This record gives sequence, C-alpha cells and structure tokens, in this order.
Amino acid sequence: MKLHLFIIDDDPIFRLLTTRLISKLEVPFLEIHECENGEIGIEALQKLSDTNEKIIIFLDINMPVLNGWDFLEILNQKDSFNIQNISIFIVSSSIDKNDILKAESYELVKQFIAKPMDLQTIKSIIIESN
Amino acid sequence: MNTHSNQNNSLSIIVIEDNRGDFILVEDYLIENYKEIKVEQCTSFESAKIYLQNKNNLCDLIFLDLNVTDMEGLELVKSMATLSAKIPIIILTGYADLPLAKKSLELGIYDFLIKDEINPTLLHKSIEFAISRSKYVHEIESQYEKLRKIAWTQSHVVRAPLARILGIISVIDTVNIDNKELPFWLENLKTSTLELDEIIHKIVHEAQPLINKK
Repeated sequence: MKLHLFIIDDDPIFRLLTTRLISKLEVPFLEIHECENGEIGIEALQKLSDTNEKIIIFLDINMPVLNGWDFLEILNQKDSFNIQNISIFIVSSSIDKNDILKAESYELVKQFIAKPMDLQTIKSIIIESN
Repeated sequence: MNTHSNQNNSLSIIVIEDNRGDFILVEDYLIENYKEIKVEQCTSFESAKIYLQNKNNLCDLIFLDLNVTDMEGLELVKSMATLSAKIPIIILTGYADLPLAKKSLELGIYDFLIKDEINPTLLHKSIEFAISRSKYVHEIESQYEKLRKIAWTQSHVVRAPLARILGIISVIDTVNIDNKELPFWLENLKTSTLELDEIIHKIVHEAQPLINKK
C-alpha cells in the first residue's frame, strides 16, 4: 500500500534535506508532499480525505499564513479527515520545553523531534508506519 | 499617565481617600516636607482610574485608603496594583489588619501605614523609600525582560540556522553528493552560518548593557 509523507515547513532547505535523506532509504510506494505552510498542507491533505493509505506528517511550528499549532487545531475540528491514518510528528528547531509540552498535549502528535532530523530517525518512523 | 520622579524635586501624589478630613491631614503633612508638591484627591477607584489613564496627569506615588466609595479591602488593593503597574502604592488605613497588610505587600504594595500613627517624618521616609525602591525594582524588571528575550531567542531563533547547518552536514555525510551538487550545499552552509553569526551579533548587542554591568 502507498505511503504518503507530508513535509509541512516553510524552509525549502529543510524540505530538500529531508527528501534527500529519504531518497537514501529507497522506500517503495512512497509519495512525498512538500507544503510550505499549514494552509497548503490542509489543502493537500483534504485531497486525500477518502484514502485508507497511511499518512505521515512532518510538521514545523513557526510558519507564515498557518503555523503548526493552527494546523493541528484545524485538523482537530474537522471530521472530514480520517485521523486514524495520520501520524503527525512535530519537527522544529525549537528546544523550548513549552513547545515540547504543548506538542505532547495534542493526541494527534506522535512525537516532538528537534531538528536536525537524522536518517535513523526518519527510517524508524517510516518502518513503524509500514 | 507619566512619572517625573524627582527630576526637579517636584512630586505629584494622588491620595485615594473619601474622607475629606483624612485627606487634608495627609496633604498638610506632605506640604510640610516637600516644597514643590502636587497633591490630588480621588474619592473612588473609578475616579482614580480616570485620573491615571489621562496621559497628561503626572503621578509619582499613590496613597490608598482601603475603604473608598466604590470599592474596599483586598479587591481594591488588587485593582489598584493592576492599574498602577509602575507607580508605587502606599496603603494608608484606619485599622491594623496584619493578614491584609502581608497580602498587600505580596501584591507589590510598598508600605502599609496606620492613620493614627503617621506624622510628617514617617510619611516622608515612607515616600522616599517607596520611590527609590520602585526605581530599583523597575530596573531589575527591565533587565529580567531583556534576559528573558535573550533566552527565548536562544531556543527559537539561534537554533533555526544551526539545525540547518547540522542537517546539511548530515546530508553531505550520508548521501552520495556528486561534484555538481556539492557547491549548492556549501553555498547553503555559508548562508546559514552567516545568518547564525548575524543573530549572535544581535544578541550580544542586546546583552551588552547587562554584560557591562557589575
């Protein structure tokens, strides 16, 4: 079955870094969706609302237009998303305890990951979801 | 609302007091010690609020009776403490209520005086202490605010380019980068390093007054 990976981050270098690392893993049936803010992320996610395929989201916190927290709020409110299929990982350069605790307070969030994300971390997330 | 604490030895004081006799007594005592003093009476919390919110009115210190026309006790103390964030307040009351006095000091009130016990010298001392201590407190508070901002910057802003630098290094390390791609990553390494340097310069600039201080 296909696996979707959303990289929702306004930093193009971070998105490129992540896709370059993932290419090293040679994961079959993986589709990567790059979104430069939460709003674009919501729109892209909506197109997959009927799918039973697994969705992994790497979500940044500080972004223009719609930040990571607001993205989570919208996801929490809308019933149209099949939340069972979605695993969200907050990936932020922040190491502020307040951000970590806030991230953990969301049921939707599986883990808070402080940047940089290494190959091993990405690998274990993908293996776990498959 | 402004303070002009002791710029030219003139002082503006508000007395929040609904008893005319008590106000006149305090006013007399104040005039005895200060050549240039402006004493304003407010008889209610609401009128004090209106007076303080007017930016043209100067105020260096507030005397507060604990029973005025529209509010009393702890509620009045709390409301006044919130309202007059930067102006020192001295409570001037008819009754010695120790628990309330303690609670008031915790809320940032500078002194708790009993009307029967005051005299010009005591008032003068209490005013001078309060004004000088409040200056010190505000200085510490503004330094704390600067440090808090620096701490926030460290955990949020500094880490952004730093994490990118580490990420780029790990890509160069783990992925087979060819000679065509390498200059791209080096260029980005440089950009992020310069960004980091700029942020550090900014932090040092902001922290300089605190570093200089002994």
